[in-house]
Amino acid sequence: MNCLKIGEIYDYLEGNLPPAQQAELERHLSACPRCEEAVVARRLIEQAASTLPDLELPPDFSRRVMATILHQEGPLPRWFAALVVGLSSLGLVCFLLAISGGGAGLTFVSGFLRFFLAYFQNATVFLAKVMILLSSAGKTLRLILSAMAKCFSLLHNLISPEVQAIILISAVALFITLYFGLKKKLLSGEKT
Amino acid sequence: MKDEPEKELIQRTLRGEKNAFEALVCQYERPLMNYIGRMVQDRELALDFTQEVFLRAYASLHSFEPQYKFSTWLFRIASNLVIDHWRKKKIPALSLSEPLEDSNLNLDVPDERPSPLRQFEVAELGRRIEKALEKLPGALRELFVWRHINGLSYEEMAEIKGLPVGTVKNRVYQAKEAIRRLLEESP
Repeated sequence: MNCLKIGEIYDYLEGNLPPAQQAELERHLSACPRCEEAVVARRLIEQAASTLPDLELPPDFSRRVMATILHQEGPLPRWFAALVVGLSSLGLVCFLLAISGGGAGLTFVSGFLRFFLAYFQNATVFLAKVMILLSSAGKTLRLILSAMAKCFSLLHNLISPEVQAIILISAVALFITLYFGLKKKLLSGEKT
Repeated sequence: MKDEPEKELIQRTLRGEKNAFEALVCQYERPLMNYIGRMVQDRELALDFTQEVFLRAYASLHSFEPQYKFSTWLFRIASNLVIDHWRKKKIPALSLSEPLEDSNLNLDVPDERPSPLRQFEVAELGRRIEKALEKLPGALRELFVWRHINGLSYEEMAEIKGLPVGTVKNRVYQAKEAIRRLLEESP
């Protein structure tokens, strides 16, 4: 057996070699002081590196992290607070009108509330429909994009950069040809 | 809670239980600090970055895909943070996918001369390794720390960096050789 290459030494030290190769390498090491020395030096470094001490952390580090997370989240979103204040003020105005206006006031307030509730109901249904539509569109788009990303990543690993460049240039050329071809076809159609 | 599987902790965090995320922080604060501290060489900055990793992880936990390991996901966030820091500070970072130009980092046959490293105790050698790490190019330092200090497998490192396992393994060996040369050059 020839003297060991560096990669073989590390494979040996990490126990990555098949048993037969490991045994052959050990036989060589017992007969070759140069390779034995190379293995010893690298083993010493591996041992020392694996026993390096942990870097110190403050004892309350995790609590600090959680406190920052809670602080960033904040008590309530501003829009929610504004909505609560607005609705409360509206309720108070209705209540005051009903009390001060007597029968007429009550009729006005109940009419207004009926109108407001109907409007609110319609708006909620409309918003729910829009949200469902947006959510399904988002999910579909996400699926398509993630599939595209996976395909590109697979192609990137499989195809060499030169071939990737050729494919990209061909795609751009094809796109330009199609674009101008279609444009020409449409323009000639308009003329006739 | 300490022995609770991390996937369960992630699910509970997503349901709004903050103490479940705190358990994840306790589990990973030390490995992340060990990695980031050695990458940025500044304790206060390392503490800030370690906290930032957890903040980013918490904010985007809903996008974590459970088929991957949580630890590799965290280390990927940390690695991106460190690379951004180097970019801002204009610290040159060697790309792992590019071939190395330094002929001292090739993996041919070992030197003929006897190694002077035998004279050191393990603890002394450890201190020297810490010093040598500071001189190692960032990308190689990252792999050395992950392998020897965080104990990551080659497959985990390949997943974090998005590189083939063979490439990562080769670069780890080159990092080890670079450390050895640095140690032998300044005994």
